[in-house]
Amino acid sequence: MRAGLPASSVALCSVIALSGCGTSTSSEPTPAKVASPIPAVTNPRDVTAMARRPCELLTAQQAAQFGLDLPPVQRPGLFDTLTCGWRHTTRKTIRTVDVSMFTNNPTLEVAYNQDRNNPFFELTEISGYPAIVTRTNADQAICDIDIKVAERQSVSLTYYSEEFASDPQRACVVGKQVAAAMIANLPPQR
Amino acid sequence: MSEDPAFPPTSPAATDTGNLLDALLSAGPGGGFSIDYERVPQAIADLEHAAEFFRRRAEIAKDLARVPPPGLDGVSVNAVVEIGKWADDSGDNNLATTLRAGALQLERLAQRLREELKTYLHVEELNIPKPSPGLPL
Repeated sequence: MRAGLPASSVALCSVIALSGCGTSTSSEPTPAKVASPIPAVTNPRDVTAMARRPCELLTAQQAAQFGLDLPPVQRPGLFDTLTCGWRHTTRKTIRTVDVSMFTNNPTLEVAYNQDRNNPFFELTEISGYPAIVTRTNADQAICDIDIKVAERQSVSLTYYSEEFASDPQRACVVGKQVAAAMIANLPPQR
Repeated sequence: MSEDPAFPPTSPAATDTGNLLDALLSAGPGGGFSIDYERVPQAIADLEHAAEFFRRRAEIAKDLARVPPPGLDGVSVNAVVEIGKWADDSGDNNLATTLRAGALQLERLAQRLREELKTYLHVEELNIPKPSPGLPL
């Protein structure tokens, strides 16, 4: 922010920060580009083909294999995206998978900067695609997985299972299997 | 029966039988209360609707933490850091964790009611209606 802006402009920028403040001008220095820690994708998949039908990221058979027996629910997500949730609920356990997709967002680059201090953070590969696996709470069997399947295209899922309460890290083991199944259902990019 | 904080035993009978609805329905007029079990299915539908609402919002909060700053100015960069922190980080007070926890509590409550009502009615399946119209969620 340049010095000398009126207080009202500063306040306004604070409120509308997500849409940018437009203080950068061509005369300002542009920060040097830093090499991304996220590996490039060599075999891109097409998220846009599935973005309007997120519940097709898992077939009914795959959902059943992962113990998600209730019909998936499609919901509105952030910025007019669509998300999908699967679940299984019995007296003994609750198990859920929620998925969202970005078709034009550097999701993994942001996640890398944002989540490295989480109780669990792993930059890895799932089915050959760069992925960030995180757990925000060390005590809960909730695992967040972001997969970069093409440049600025990503799939994000959250896996939760009560049955892993005594070993919460297992949520990430199964979550990665669910992620791999979803990636396989994405068509290749043309 | 293990004790669930959402359902503290209301009487020795509740602990002995493990049947929550029996215990609640048999509570005496001298200070207890009763449940109109015909309305329990609607309560289950509304609880599940609320749980779904919170799950949906938790996902949005999580995705919000994945959005980069739109500009390179300090305000935009810092705002995104702060929004991300509140939306979904490792702290207890972030929005996504709070909403997920709320959703799970509601879902557990609904499921517990389902099971207890099935036992009380001696049925395998319940006829759960749609959520009440006009719910604020």
